[in-house]
Parts: sequence; C-alpha cells; structure tokens
Amino acid sequence: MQGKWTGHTLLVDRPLGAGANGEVYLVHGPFGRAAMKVCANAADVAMEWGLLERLSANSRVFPKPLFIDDAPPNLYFYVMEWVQGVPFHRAYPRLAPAERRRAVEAVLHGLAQLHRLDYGFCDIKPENILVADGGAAVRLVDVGGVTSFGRSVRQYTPFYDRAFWGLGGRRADAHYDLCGFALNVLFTMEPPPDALMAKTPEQRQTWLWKVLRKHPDADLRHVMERVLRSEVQDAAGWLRASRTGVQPQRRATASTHAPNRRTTHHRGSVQHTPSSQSSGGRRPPRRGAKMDWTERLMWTSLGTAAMVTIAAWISFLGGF
Amino acid sequence: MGDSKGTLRQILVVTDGCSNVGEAPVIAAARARQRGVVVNVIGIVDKGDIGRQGKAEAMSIADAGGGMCRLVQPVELSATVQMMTHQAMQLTLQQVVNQELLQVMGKSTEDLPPADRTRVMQVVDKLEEETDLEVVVTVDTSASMREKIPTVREAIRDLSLSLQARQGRSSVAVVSFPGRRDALAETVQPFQTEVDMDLLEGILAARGGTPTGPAIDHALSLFGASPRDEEDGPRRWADGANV
Repeated sequence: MQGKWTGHTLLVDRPLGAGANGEVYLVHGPFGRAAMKVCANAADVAMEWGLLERLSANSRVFPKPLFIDDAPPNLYFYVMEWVQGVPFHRAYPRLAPAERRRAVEAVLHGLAQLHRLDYGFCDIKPENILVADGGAAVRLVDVGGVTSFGRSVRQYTPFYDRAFWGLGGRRADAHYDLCGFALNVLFTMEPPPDALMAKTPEQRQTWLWKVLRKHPDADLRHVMERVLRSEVQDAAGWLRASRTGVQPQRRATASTHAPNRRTTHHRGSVQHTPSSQSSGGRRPPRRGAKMDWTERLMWTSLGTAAMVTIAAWISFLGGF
Repeated sequence: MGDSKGTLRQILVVTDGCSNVGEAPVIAAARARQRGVVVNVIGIVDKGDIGRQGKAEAMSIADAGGGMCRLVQPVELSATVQMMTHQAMQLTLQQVVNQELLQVMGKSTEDLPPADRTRVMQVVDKLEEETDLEVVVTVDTSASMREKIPTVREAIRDLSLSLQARQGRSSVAVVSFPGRRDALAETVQPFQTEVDMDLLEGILAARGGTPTGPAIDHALSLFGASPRDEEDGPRRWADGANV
C-alpha cells in the first residue's frame, strides 16, 4: 500500500482487530513495525488522528501517532505505534493478586493522565485496555470514544456505560471512566447476560449489586462499590482509597465513632465537581462511612421473615 | 455560519419485517428527504425472521430517505440506535460543511490534505454537539414484535439519555405502527426533551399488518406540527449550548 500524500510504502502484515468504524492492521513501513487504522470514512480517520495528536503531546497512555494518509480510491488511514499486550478481560484473571493490584493502579494512572488534559476515555471496554509485563505496563488503545469533559459521550459499550446501569448521565467526566473501569474489573469474573437489555435500569442495578457482592477481592469490592455509588469521583480518589490498606480495622473504628461518620458523610456529598479538583491529597480517605447496605437488607429481610412467622403462628393458633 | 443552522431532523424506523399495508414506504421516505428529514432504518433480526425481502426493503427505505440502514440482533439495538443517530447527524453536518467548502474553495473535504481535514472535522464535531435535534422513533408493533418491545422501550430511554447529555437542544417523539383501534399509526409520545416511560408503556404489540409507509408519513407530520425553528427564525447554534 502506498500513501497518496506522504508517498510512504506500507507492507500489510496481518489484522490486529476491528473497531466500531474500521480495522487495525500490523504493517511494516518507514517507521518499522507499526499499527495502521483503516476506515472507509475520511471523517472518522481525521477525527481520531486529531485526538491522538493532541493527546500524545502530553501523555504516553495512547499509542504514538506516526502519520495520516489516504490510499486512493477510498481508503483512509493513519499509522501509529504498535502496542502489544493482552486485553484486560483475558489478562486480569491470570494475574497474581499483587499483579492485579498493580494492573488496576496502572490503568488508574493512565486515566488520571488523560483526565488532567480534560478528556474522558469513555469507550472503556476490556479490548481497549492492553496489559503487558504482568500488569506493570498498561496502555489504552482506540481513541474513538475519547470525549472532552462536559460533552456527550460519543462512543460507548452498553455494559460498561454508567447510564446503562442508571448510575449517572452520559456526559464525559472523570467518574464516567471510573465507573466504566470498575464495571470492567467486575465483569472479568461474571459477564452480564444479554437479557439485561430488556430490563429497566433498576432491574439491571439489582443484578449488578448481586455480582458486586460476590466479587472475591474484598478491598477492591469496597472501592468499586464507592465508585459505583459516586462516592469516589476521580482516579486519585480511587488510588488513595485502595492504598490506605487494611480494610476491616478502619471500618470498625468508623462505625464506633458516630460523629466521625457524620463528618465524612458530609464531605462525600460536597465533592461533586469531579475534574476541578484533580489535585487531591487534601481530602483524607474515607471508607466504611456507611453501614453496608447488604447488611441492612439482610437484617430487614430477617426481621420481616420473623414477623411473618409470628403472624402466621398467631393466626394459626387463633383459628383453633 | 450560525444562519445556516436550523434543527436537524430524523426519523428512525425500527421494524422486523416487510410493510404490507398502505403506500410504499420508499415513497414516504423520499418525501421526508425532500422536506429535509433523514430517514434511518433498523431491522431487528431475531432468529432470522426479517428475511431477504425485509432486508431489501429496509435498505431501500434508508436509501430513499438519505439515511442509513443496519440489521441487528435485539441485544445490539440500544447501541445501534444511539450510534445511528450520531452518525446520521455527523453525515448531515458534513454535507453542509462540504457544500460550504465547495463554494468557498472549490474543494470537498476529501480533496484537502489530511491535516486540514482534521480541522474541518473538529468543526463538524462541535456543530454536532451543539445543534438542535428532533428525532421521531417509529416502532413496528405488529404481532411478531411482541417479545422485542421491552428491548425497544429501553433502547428509546437509552437514546434519550444520550441526547440529554448533548449541549444542543434535543427532543424525541415516539410513533407506533399499527396503532391501537385500527389506526395505521399512533403518536405514543409527542416531541419532548425527555422520554416519559409511562407513555412508552403504550407501545404494545397490536393486531394488523405492518403499515410502514403510512407510519413514516405520520412521523413526518409531527415535524410540521412543531413550529419551532421556522417561526422564531434562524437561531444561532451557540444559543443551544447555554440552555
């Protein structure tokens, strides 16, 4: 293949994958081995190229853009750095616990970098997160969903979309990505069934909380719940929350000191401007602020069951 | 620039079969296109019951209506509705921008060097976020759709979530065909900025044929009934951003 504008000749090796609007191939060219994204639509190529250029100036999370060109009559493409790695959903279950934590942190650091530029990743599905070196190296690929904060999300995958689960809107912000990433982690263990498509957001949430409760990593489960409940709003918040270590102790102290709980709760409702306060560090970590809702549910249902039994006995005995 | 920007208008037909009542849908779609309304079609393929004929018809409606056509499994419906609406807007705006470029520079976007194209696309992208949009979702409620209707309802709710996130003003209306009590088509929800799930409960599988043509006409008439942009003159697209 030869480019019309640059004159570069490319040797197409093999397909690497297909995105929403085109395909990616491994190619050999003037820059050595590289990845080429091809679309039938000039607009999509131009748009993604523009984003890649802007992002790569300040961050290494996304592949480095090399050049953009056309191959007449109607192929439009750009060439970028070839990123190797295993998609998140296949890599994650095979990692050791420490490596998993490292991978999660690496993704969060990547997102934090992007968020500092006021962009959200948005189409945060496992195929778009490539993991290498036992979780030490994580890169994001497919810039197609990247949206500047405050704009409507341009491309997403329903199961990893905050709005699909009724957990928030579809405008790009830091929390949208965190939610999406938490869902990614969660669904590596149990992918959602297609039947959820016909369900209301409330019914979908019921399923979601059930799966969250079953998640094996207690620390992660707790942070993810706070993310999904919008109590943790940015990547720095997640990192802080997961670094503060041993969970159960903190929880116990939090629940014995009622005043403490109140103040932390109050702070939680204030921090609703996600992007403006990326600096972080000021806020002390809050965890276990509330009584676990599952616990509350359990006691309520136990109580109800007991009441019903008593009522049944009374009416049964009264009948005689 | 703002002067040429009115409201983008789309009809989205969701069906799983061939029309068999009333005027040919292709004619209705062509009429819509003449009036500046783009017609997109989603054919739901469920156990392959849309058939070759249904497939051909879906494509020809989209062709005549200047829109796009996709055949999808029920699972993909939500994402497709959102994606098509977005792509159709992008396409319309690109055509507008292309025309301007042709007039000003005698070149289309494709003739520009790729780097300049990137800048043109940023303009299109901004316009897409900020222009006003009106969509009529036109849902096939013939008997074969019965099991898919909950999925369709959720897809419409989902579309409205996406539209609400935009900076421009968006409104959605919903039409079902056939309607209840022997009507060929029925307005389930008039133009509103948010969908009303209670009204959407009115999307019910009905008895009767599949009057796709009359349904497109009905959808088209809803635009006529909303006097918005013709009367209050060309609104600057920037206004919408501050709502």
